[in-house]
Amino acid sequence: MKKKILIIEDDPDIAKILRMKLTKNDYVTNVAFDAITGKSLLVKDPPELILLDISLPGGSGLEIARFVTNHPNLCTIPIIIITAYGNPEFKAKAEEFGVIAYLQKPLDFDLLMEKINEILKE
Amino acid sequence: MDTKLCEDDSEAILASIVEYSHEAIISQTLDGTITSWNPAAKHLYGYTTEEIIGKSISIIVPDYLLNEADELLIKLKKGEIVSNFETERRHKDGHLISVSISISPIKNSKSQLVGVSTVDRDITERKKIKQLKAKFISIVSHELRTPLTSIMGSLDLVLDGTAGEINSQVRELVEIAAKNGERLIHLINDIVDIEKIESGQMIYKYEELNINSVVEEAIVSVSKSAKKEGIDINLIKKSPGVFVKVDHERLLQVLINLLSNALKFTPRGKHINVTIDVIDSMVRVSIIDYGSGVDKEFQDQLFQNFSQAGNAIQRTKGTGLGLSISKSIITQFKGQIGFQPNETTGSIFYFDLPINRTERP
Repeated sequence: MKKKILIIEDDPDIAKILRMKLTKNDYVTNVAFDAITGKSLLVKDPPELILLDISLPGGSGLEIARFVTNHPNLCTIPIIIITAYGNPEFKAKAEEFGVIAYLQKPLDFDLLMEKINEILKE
Repeated sequence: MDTKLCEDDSEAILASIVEYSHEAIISQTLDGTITSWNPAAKHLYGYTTEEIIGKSISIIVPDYLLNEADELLIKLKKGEIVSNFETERRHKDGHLISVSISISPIKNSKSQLVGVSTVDRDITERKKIKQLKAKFISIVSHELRTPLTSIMGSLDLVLDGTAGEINSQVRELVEIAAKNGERLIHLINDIVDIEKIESGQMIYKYEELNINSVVEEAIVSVSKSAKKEGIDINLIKKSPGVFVKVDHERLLQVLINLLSNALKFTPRGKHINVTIDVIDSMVRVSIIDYGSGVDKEFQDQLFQNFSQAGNAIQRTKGTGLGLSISKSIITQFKGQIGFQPNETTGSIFYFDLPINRTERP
């Protein structure tokens, strides 16, 4: 069965590109354009991996990472942060919340796919 | 009227210099009692000479900086020079002023230290401009990254065939767009890095690393671009069991920068050699190319900001910040970076790092 990835990203162009790239690589995708929808989709339809932006309408991606880490049913879902922010404070916070990779935009799509394939290969 | 100066006037001349100086000149005893205060000091801090003479210097030092002021005095007593030290002082009306201060000793006829004089310069505006510049760079870089992700992502999808078959001409044009997108990304990253270095906000995470492994990792990172250019990168000499204590990401950045530079200046079909040598307590990594080399008159400026080798025709892609960033990083690791012309043709860029530990291979 195809593995499901939830994209939480407010930029519709980037979300669309990620969706196309992941579909081509045989993944099923779901997209949330804001933090609130993101959280609700996470609970309703938990994915195998989350691609998470930090700056989102309705809350921060780091907040979502904390929510996932502290949630008994979601805490094992790997998270990859995709953000334009390179602040060490954000990176440290993300690490604290168990984020598996922190990629800065502009994304290296080959590297992103490598990471996703590696995480989801088992 | 006699306008000539005679020796007897020397005191008057000195007094005049102090009086009309645009910088605040203050003298104090060793216990901090203010003994002189020029008009520029009055202008900077708001106190008149009558109000301040005989008072303690702590009147203009914010409470949280009192220890710092004492430490500066201790330094001076030890004979150390305090020059252009950036700190804060408090105006009579309570507001804080960013100042740069230089402190000099006042000695009596027996050369005994009896007091100090400080020259204080208002740098509030300079600080504001610096902060504004940092903020501007941060915002611009952030705002450029998001649209660049869409541009690069779309080009990537076209190139990998997701959007359907493309003919060779379209492929060539899209590859040009992607290559120039990469240049923009490097430009943004370099500008952000140089700003971080200049404002002292570059963060280093130190760990012990095997130098051979990091060099090999960097070669793998640039091997794709090297292959495209038909250039081989050969690690011809390793030094097994040598460990350095550095920030992994930053050392990799230096190596990738030096290797990418070598690639830019190496003609298609030629090769680049890399060597790792132990020299006393240091390990030297050299990147040897057989390109056109660096013009003699340019060699002194290589590691300065916005430096680029060659004339306008020879100029290649880049900000001219890469070597300056590399130098800052290597200096931070207590090492040094350098250049020497290759014996036949081309250049050798190298850096030395202190060895943290060696292990028998």
